Amino acid sequence: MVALVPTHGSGADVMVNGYVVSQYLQDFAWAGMREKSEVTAFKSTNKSYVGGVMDSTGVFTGMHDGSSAGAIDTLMFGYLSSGDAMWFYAPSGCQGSGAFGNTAMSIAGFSDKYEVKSAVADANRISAEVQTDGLGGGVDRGFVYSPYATQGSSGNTASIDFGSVSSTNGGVLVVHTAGDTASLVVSLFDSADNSTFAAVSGYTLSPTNATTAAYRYPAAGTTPTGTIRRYTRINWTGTGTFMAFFSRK
Amino acid sequence: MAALSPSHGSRAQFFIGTPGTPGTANFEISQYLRQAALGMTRDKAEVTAFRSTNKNYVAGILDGTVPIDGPYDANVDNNMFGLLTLASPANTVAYQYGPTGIGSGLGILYTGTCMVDKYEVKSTIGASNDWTGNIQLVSVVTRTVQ
Repeated sequence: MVALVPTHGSGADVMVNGYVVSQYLQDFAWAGMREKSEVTAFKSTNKSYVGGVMDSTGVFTGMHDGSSAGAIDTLMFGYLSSGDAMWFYAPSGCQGSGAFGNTAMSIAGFSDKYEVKSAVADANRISAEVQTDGLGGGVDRGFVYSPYATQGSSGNTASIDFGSVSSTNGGVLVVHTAGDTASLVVSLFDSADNSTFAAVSGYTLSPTNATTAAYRYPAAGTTPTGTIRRYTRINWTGTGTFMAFFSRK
Repeated sequence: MAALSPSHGSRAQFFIGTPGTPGTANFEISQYLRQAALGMTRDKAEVTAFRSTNKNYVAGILDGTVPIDGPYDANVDNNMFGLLTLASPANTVAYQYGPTGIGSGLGILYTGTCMVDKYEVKSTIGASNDWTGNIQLVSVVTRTVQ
């Protein structure tokens, strides 16, 4: 029996389109649901089902702030009338060197509810819902490789071991960048022995300079492919503040 | 009259399949659970007719769900997310639930086949990261005296 490793909710991080919004939130919940169709027939003694399509939503509340371009009210009010945004939820955090290897979810979705509330005896607050959208890429579960931080030079992250079996189903590489990036190129490398690493063909993102945004490979709507070997790490060249995540399929 | 033999919920054990081998309940999640409830139900069709003084029913087909929740952990997150996203039909996941433990002499064991139709992860500033899930039963529950 593997021992429980619990974590406190106060350490969670949430990002959207390159912006860290953890400082505005007090709770965040991602709920995944699976449709099911009943296929019970005559003479059955127990109902029978087959699993269908997955659906999920993100729900969060926090404090109202519209004081800057990246403040939560500025972002959410805009998202209410725009298409899919790239959300990122790390229950154990994605900032600081200790966040390497933390599990996280990359979520493509649009906001279908945003509420601002004022009460005489309370701070101004917000609540919102995000509908995950399969057309935008849906949801991917993976790991934080490069925690959100400013990198002044090129480098590599430590590696993550997926076990003894390579995958031929590819994966999803996601990068969130702040507005200080310069010639940043983020690539996925893999290895069979955790010693000799090579770039995984195609899994490279080149964020636009000086732009706060999020990037995904493969693009939404494209099924991941390719062989990803046992050990993986992120390599980057250039400079800037960014977070890198990878989900192997 | 047989005497009551009560037991504490903290002794419960729960095993479930993995995304790689869903049909074998060899992944223990006891250490990740605060509660589990095996809820078995029976459809009923009302057949009350004129002149009845009490409603009449005929029993139908069995159904059931197992809501579960506990403290979040990357290990259980990996398994539950994987079971939630299993390729369709996704209804071959094995489970074992022992209210007083799983093993010889440890009381009643409930087993069967299911699918995971809900998995939620939640972070709140004043609490631990938590998860909740729902298991939909897809076969008759087998009750065994261990």
